[in-house]
This record gives sequence, structure tokens and C-alpha cells, in this order.
Amino acid sequence: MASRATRSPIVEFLGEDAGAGGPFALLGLPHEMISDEQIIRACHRRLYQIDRHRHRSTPDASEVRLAVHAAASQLLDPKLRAELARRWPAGMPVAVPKAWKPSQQTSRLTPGFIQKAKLLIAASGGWNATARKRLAHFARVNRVGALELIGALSPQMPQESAGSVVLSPKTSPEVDKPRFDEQVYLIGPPPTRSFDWFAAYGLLLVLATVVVLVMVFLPIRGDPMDRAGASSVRVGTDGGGQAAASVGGNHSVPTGDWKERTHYTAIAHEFDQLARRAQSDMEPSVERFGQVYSKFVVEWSVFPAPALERTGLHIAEFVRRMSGSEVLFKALLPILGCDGTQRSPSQAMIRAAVIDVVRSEPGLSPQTRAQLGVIRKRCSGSESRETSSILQALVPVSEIIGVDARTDDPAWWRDWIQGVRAATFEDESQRTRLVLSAMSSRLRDPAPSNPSWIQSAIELVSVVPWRADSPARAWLLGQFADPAVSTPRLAVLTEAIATHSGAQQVNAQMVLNPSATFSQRQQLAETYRSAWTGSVSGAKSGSKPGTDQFSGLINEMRLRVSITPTQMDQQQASRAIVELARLNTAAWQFAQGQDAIAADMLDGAKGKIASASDPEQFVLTASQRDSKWSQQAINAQSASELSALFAQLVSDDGPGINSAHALVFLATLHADSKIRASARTQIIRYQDHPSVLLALDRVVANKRISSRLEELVVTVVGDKLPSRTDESWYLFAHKALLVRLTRSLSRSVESDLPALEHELDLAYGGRVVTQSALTQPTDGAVDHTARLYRKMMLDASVTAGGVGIELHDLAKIQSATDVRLVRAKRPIDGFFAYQRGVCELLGILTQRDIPGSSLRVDDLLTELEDRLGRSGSVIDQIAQVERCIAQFWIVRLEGRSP
Amino acid sequence: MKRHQSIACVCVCVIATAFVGGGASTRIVQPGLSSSHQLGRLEPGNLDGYLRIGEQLGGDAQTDHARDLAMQTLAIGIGLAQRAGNSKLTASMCIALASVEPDSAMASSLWDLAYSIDPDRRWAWVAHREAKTRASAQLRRDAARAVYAVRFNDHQLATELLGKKAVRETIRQTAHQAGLDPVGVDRLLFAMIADASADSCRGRVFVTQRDDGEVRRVVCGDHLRPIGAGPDDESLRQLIKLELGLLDELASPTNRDTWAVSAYLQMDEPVEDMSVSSIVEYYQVDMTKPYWRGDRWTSSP
Repeated sequence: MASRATRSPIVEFLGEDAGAGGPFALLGLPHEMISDEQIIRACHRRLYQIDRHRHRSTPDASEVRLAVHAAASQLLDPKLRAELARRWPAGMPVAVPKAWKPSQQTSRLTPGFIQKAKLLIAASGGWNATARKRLAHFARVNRVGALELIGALSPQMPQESAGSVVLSPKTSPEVDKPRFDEQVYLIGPPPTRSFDWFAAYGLLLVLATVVVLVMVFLPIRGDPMDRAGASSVRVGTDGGGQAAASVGGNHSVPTGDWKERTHYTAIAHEFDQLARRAQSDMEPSVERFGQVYSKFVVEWSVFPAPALERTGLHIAEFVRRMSGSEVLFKALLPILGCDGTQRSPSQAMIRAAVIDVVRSEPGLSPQTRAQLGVIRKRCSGSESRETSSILQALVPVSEIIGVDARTDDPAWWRDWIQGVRAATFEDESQRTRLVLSAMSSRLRDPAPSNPSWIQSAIELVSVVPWRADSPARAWLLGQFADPAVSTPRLAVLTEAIATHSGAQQVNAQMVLNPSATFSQRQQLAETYRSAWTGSVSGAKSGSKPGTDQFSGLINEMRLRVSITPTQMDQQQASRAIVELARLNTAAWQFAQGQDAIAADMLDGAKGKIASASDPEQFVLTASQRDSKWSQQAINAQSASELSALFAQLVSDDGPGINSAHALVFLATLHADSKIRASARTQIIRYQDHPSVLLALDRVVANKRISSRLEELVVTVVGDKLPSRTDESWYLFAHKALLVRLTRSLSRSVESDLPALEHELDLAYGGRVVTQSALTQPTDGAVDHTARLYRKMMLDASVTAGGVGIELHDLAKIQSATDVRLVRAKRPIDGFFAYQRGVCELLGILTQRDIPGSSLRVDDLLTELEDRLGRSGSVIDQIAQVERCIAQFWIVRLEGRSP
Repeated sequence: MKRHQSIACVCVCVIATAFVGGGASTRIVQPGLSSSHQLGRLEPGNLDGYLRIGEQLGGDAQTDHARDLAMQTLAIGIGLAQRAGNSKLTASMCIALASVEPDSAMASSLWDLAYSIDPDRRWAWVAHREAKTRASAQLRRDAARAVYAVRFNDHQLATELLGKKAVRETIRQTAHQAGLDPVGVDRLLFAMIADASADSCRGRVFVTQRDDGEVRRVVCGDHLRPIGAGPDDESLRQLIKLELGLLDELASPTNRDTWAVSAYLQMDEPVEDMSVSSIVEYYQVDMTKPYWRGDRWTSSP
């Protein structure tokens, strides 16, 4: 208790750093500030800090709030800020990790460092774009802000930076305390800490008094609503009489419009009072509401979340009460609505969100709702989504406004970002999602890139975290892969990321050329992927093995899904198929509890794909040598005579077209059994040779089929055939020989397909049977896919009719697969038919196993349909289905995090 | 007198019956008037009407125009029924449309679509496919034999088989389905037959030669091209692809190491599922014009 008694309210609520004295310390701001928004954000953070304190409702809290607001008001005036910077120390940023806090020990802006930077400029041929890029990179790798470095390089800055806490190269034993260079400060800081507090309280008191006067008395002067004005007085005087901090002199309150200084609590209080008194003083209340509401839509972004929620409810309550009177409600409508000329996105956001909250009021008549719905459409162009939470209403509205935006104006985007920050409050993932959606939309704008977009891109990428666990990385890789994304716009974005985002592992070389081809885009995407994947695996070391594999798998899957383009050439598609199939098998093994196998699969996911074997050359023309050989063979009188000829075949790499006919004749029709046997041996040796297959195919059409020929054909085709006396013998024998001939000729074509078939055989084998199948392909990719399909269908059928699975859905998958199989035109189509069946079944099983995943599964299937429709080849389609399977696995794994 | 009256009555009745019967038989003489009247009753609120009237018009159709009208009615009905989420009716109309459709490949696709939409049609679908396979099996075998005969220089058999219009049509359809140019295939086959007729070897590889009383077999030197192959590698690829298509063997090798076949046959085109939207496109109907007014489809009643 004794210690508490000696602590000031500022220290009590905001911590030791804030109590160092002066407005900068109070707000936790450095002397060098980039924008007014930084001050407003700092003010917002401090107020939020107070709102979370357990004594937030005490007069002390109000006192500190007013002090914070007064400090912000002072710093918003640039001249006054410069003056205050000479008198008061810089503050420590709020909630910043210790490693980020500026420290003299870690400062790298030494004269040697600056000298190096100057040399860099000189090496770049002076101050030009190359120099700027190199400097940015130089600053990044040395963990120095680019602006800081540029500032230090300019001729006037070194003197100022010498006195700055951040830039001083000198070291001090008390690194945690701000240091002041007395040569720089015109008026030295208070000699002792106690005096510091005394001065601070004095200043706060004066400032608070002035603020209260500005907030309360000025509105009353021109305000017919005396009671409402009086209420504002009460708000201000409740606790603000003692705490204003002033730096003294003539700079106590900067001049300006009173509205700039109004605290959010006053506005919130106004709405509270209006809601309470709406029944008794209806007409004047509407007028007052109009004034306060116009103020609110400008200032809403500084409201802490709880205050904003309360205000939304008060407004809704007020409007509901007014809706009883038709005249008054009509007067309210123009106040609430957007006039169509609204240029500020944050104001449109809050107006739309307020209407959504108002429409959620249970007491409203349908007519009133309809009228509100009409004015709501003018704000964001979307349908109203009724909700009693203003923050919940703000998120979709801000998303739609961001996505629909057709402007690159950086001021517009700054305003939008401000609104998004307020709407998402502390929910970083939500904020990231909104900004990524908006950036996706801008990247697809066919309008050419322009300087405004460069500025806007910098603003937008600064909001997004680019950490390893952030979805922003996968998002960016997805943009590279999407042909709809404009390359010049993407180029600007990559530059902004490389130089302004703070994304790790990204350097100045990783900037897209605006005139790059799609293939070059893919190459750069691969560079990003390699850089970031390396960081993921680097981040994995040191954590638990199980979690390690799990997060690594999900990250890999996300990345692979993101970089799989909508359309691919065969080589790209084959690679995507193999990588996705390996990852999907790893996921399947992981889900089965086979962590070791899953880890092996994951390690080998990006391994090489077996390369295509060299094509074989078959010559199906009759050469003189071939004719001579065939004539010698067919006229041979003994087996020994033939033996010498057969030796020639080895050197000729098989029989020629006429030689094959001679061999077949010898093997089936020659009178000498030894000659028949030796010819038969040669035929079997060269049974895959097209010449031999053609020669056999010629004789199967004969009317009389000998037992020797029948036996020879069965041996060559390696399959059962009907008896030679059966009418259908010719048909089956010819079909078998024709298929074998086709396969034989296909070896003369260079193709990745056999290697791909082999890889898929392994991958799908791993999902059907035990680990032995991972190394030993047995039945072929089609067969393994078919077995997996039947296994999953059985699994789904067992639980069908219960929770999550409808029999009708399974029947539809079955019928679609049946149809695809009968319509198949080539062997690969059979695989595709079963693979789609597997994908659709996995979707159904995901809906069953992961509650709440139905919409996501439906979205993914719709996306798959779209991608399949745009595919240019069956290989491309197989890649898209494998991608969809990977997306289902992501949903499943995330839903069942181990 | 009474007898005469009775005879007269019988005669009148016979004449009247003949007249009435004759009148009934003349109703189909004016299908246009009848169909217009029926089509005028169509409206999206009564989807069954599209099936009933479409089936009736298809059954009565005697001209291409009348059949087109029946198919359009059913195609619009399919689109409307699908939009209404009525899968049973959609499937019924697909099957009705298949029965009117003259192109057997399209008819099969419509059956496939019906089964995809309504899995309860499985056995009807299987029966249809078997019937279709049975009906076309001999024709397809003949067509495949014709291609074989051309390859192996059997001029006589090739001419005989290709002389049949149905065989030629089957070859054209299969070529189209396999992604080959039917006209180019036609040209290739007839060029090869012409070559074979000029080839004195007539499909024989070896001929017998007597030299000083010794009988020897020698290679017949007049071959214009190797027996069983095509004039060049590309022609051989096309002939094999066509023959496999005719024998329904394009997709059958489901064992290992067969995907390279797709590369050799140059078959990498994407797989397309039959869908309602493809029907609307194929029959060139506009779903926003479901009413028949003034001899055309309109958007308003």
C-alpha cells in the first residue's frame, strides 16, 4: 500500500516509462514522427491501456485519460511538437518487444556505418533509384530503418540525431533510461525525478482545464441543447480538473478547431444521454443527435472497442425510440445515411455498420427496416447484415468497401486502413485477411500501375505481418500463380514488400520486373517460396517433433496450394501433381498415426521426379539389309544356318519389317521343328518390337489358325484369349496385339507421363495399403486410385444416413464416377475419374468429421469446378483435383490439431 | 319396308364410321397447327408441361423442323427443371430428349447426364448402354476391319467394307470422337486403297521365284509401303487411334505403364463432364425465353 501511495496515477495506469515526464513519454512516442496517425494510434493505445485497467472507472482513470488526450492534442501541432521535443524526452513505444526498443548499444548508425552508406551511393552513381534500392537493402540487413538512415545521411540531420536517443552513437551504462544531450536542449530537463513529477502534474492540470473548457463551453455557446451541453461539462469535470499536463509557456494548447480536441468519452456520453432522454425531449434530441453523430463518424476510429460497442447500442436505442414518430424518423434518415458523395471510406464504413446495428433492434417495424435498408445500400453497395455488434458489422462492410474500391489514391487507402484498424481492433488475423482481400482486388485491376499505387501498396503492405505463420506469405505466392493478377501491379507490390514491409528473407533482388513474363513470375515465386520455406524449416528446429511435422506439413501444403496456377503446361502440372500427391499421402499417413512415414513423405515431397527415359527409335521401313536378311532366313535349310543370321539381329537392334514377317513364317509354318523353335525364341525375344507385332497381327486374320500360332500369340500378348476355334478369337487377338503395338510405339515418344504414372502409383499406393506399397509399385496408379475410391466409399457408406452424410450424395458421386469411367477415352481418364471420386468423397468425409466445415468444403468444390473448366489438358485437371484434395487435408488437419 | 330401313341405317352407320375414322386419321396432317397450340400452353410454372408436350411433339415429329422444336422444348424444360432443383424431372427430360436426338453420341451423353443427375436411373442407364453397345457392335467391328484391311493392303476387303455408308459414317463419328479430322481420315483411307490397288504384291510380303529349278521366296519388291504400317509415322498413329476407338480399346489398358499411350496418341485434351449448361449451349436455347408466342420463343407470356 505504501508503495502504491507514492505512485502517480500515470505510472499506476500506464507504467514507469510513461511517467518519465512530458507528452512523448506519456504517449510512448519517439521525437521523430512520420504522421499524425502515429500520434492518434498512440493515444488510442494509451486509452485502451487505461480501459483495461481494473480501476478504469475511478476518477484517477479519467484524470489520466484527459492527460493523454491533452498530450496528443499538443503533439498534433507540428510547431509545438518540435518545441516540446527540445524540452522533453522521447517515450518508449507501448507494447513493443524489448528487442525492438531503440537502444544506444544496438544502434548501428555509427560514423563508419554512415560512411559505408555514402560509399554505396557513390558506387550507384549518385542519388538515384539504384542507390535508393541498395540503401533500403543495406538498412534492412543492418536492422536500421531506411528513413532513419536517409535522415542521418542528409547534411542537417547529424546534429539533430546527435541529441536523439535513438541515433546517438554514444553508449551509456543506463541503457533503459532515455538520455538527453544538454548541448542540444535549450532548456534542460528537470534535475531530479521528483521535480519532474511536480512539473508534469502542473502541466497536466493546466492542459486538462483548457481541454475541458474547449470541449464543454464552446459547444454550449452555439448549442440550443443546454442540458446535453451540461452533461458534457460533467464528463469533463468529473476527473479532469487536476491532471492536465502542460509544458508551460505560450504552447499550452495549440490553436485549431475545437472538434479536433474532443475526447471520445464525451461523444459516447452524449449518445448515452440522448438514448435516455429521447422519450421526453424528442424534437431537440434529433437536432442534437445530428450534431453529435456527424462528429462521431469522423472520430469513431479512436474509440476503444467497448466504447464503440456501447455507442452503437445507444444509437440503435435512440433510433428505435424515434422510429415511433414518422416525422422525426424521416428527419433522422438523412443524418444516418450516406449522401453518395462520401469520399471517406472509414465514414462510409461506420455509417453502414451503424445501420446494421440499428436494423437488429427488435422493436423496429418492417417499413422502418426497409427504409434503413435503402439508405444502407448507398453506403457500401451491399446488403445489410443485421447484427447487434458494431464491430461485427464493421468487418464485412470494410471488406466490401476495400474489395470494391477502384482507386489507387493513397489518402483513400490510409483512411480505409484507419477504419480497418479500428474495426478489427486487436484481431490481427482479421485485419490481415481484410487487407489481403483488398490487395487481391487491386492487383486484378486492369488499369495500369501508377505512382499512386506505389504509395498505396506501401501503405497496405505495412499493415500486414509477413511472419512465417502469417497467411500473407501463402497469399503472395498465390498472386504470382494467378494469371488474372496484373504483372506491373504485382511488380510494385513486390517492391513495396522488399523495401517497406519488414518481411524476412526478402531482399532487394526479389522484385518483379513490370514487363516479366508469366514464366518469370513463376520463377520469382519459386525464389520467394524457397526463401520462406527455408525459414519455416529453420523455425522448426527446437520445437517438439510432433508439432514440428504437423505445422511443417500444413505450411508446405498451404504453400503448394497457393503456388499452383490455374493453368499450367505439362511440365509444371506434372511437378505440381507429384508434390501435391506426396504431401497428400503424408497427410493421410499423419492422420492414420503413421508419423514416421508421414515425415519421410514430407521430406521427400519436393524430391526429384523420375526423368523421362530416352525415347526408342523404331524404323518401320524396309531397308535393303532387312530384305536381304529376310530372304536368307526364309530360305534357310537348317537351324545352324539360321543361328548365324540371328546373331545379326542383335547388332541390328531387332528385326526389320520384312525380317519379322520371315520370322513369323518360320515359327508357324516351317516344316522343321528345330527351325520353328529357334524362330519362336527370336520372336519372344523381340516381342515388344513393332515389326514383330505387325507381322503377328497380319497372320491372325487368316481363316485357319494353327495351334502353334495360337500359342505364339498368347505368349506374346501375355493374356488369355478365347479358343482359336471360337469366332471371336480374331477380334480378341487383334485387339491385344494392337494395344501392345500402341504401347510399343509410345516408347518412341518422349513424355513425362510414364514417370508421372509411376509417382502417382507410389503416392496412391501409400494411401491404400501399408508402408510396403510406398516403395514397391504393384498394380498401377489407376488400380490404386480405384481401390482407394472403393475403400473411402465403403467408409462413407457405413455412416451414411447418420450425421453429416446423405446416401443421396454418395449415390451422386457413384453415378458421376460411373459416367466418367464409361466416357473415358484413354487410360489416364480412368485415373482422373477415380481421383475426382476420391476428392468428392474426401469432401463429404471432411464435412462429417470437422463440424462447421460444410461451407468451406462447398467453396472448395466450387473453386475446383471453376479451375477444371479452365484447364487446358487432362494433366492440368489432375493437378487441380490433387490441389483440392490438399485443401481438404488442410481443413482436416487444422480441425484436428494434435 | 322395315328391312329396307334397317339396311339403310346400317349403310349410314358404316359411312359415318368411315368418315369419322377418316377424319381422325387426318389430324396428323396438320402438325404445325397442333404443335403451336400445345406449345402456347407452356409456362415455367408448370414444368411437367415441357416434358409432356416435348415428348408428344418428338413422337409425332415427321420433319426436321418439328423434331428441332421438340428438342428445344425439352432442352428449355431441362434448364428450368434444374433451376427449380427438380432432379427427377430434369433426368426424365434428358431421357426424353435422348429418344428424339438423332445423333447417337449425343443421345448417349444425355443418358449419362440423366444418370449423373438422378442416380436412381442406374439400371435404365446400364440397359441403355448395353443396348447401344449391342446395336453398334457389329458395325464398329466392320469399320475396324475396314481400317485393318487398308493397313494390310487388302484392297478387296477394304473396298467391300468401305462401300457401306454405315461403316463410313461410323468411321467418321469415331474419328471425330477421337479428336481426328474425319475428312482427313477419309482421305487417308481412300488414298491407301488407291495405292494398294496399284501394288502388284497385293498384300503379300514374299513371292515365290524359280531360279534354275530352285524355288526361292523373295521379298515382293513392289510394295509402296511396309505391310501393316501407314505411308508415314503420323498416318500410322492416326490409323491406330481410329482402330482402337472403333474397338472401344482407347481407354481399356488399365494396367501399368500405359499412360505413355496417351502421349503417343496425342490425347491430352481436358475431360469434359456433360452438364445442363452444355445442353443449353448445344441446342442453342435461351432460358430467359420459356414462352412460345407467335411461332418463336419469347421472354413474356
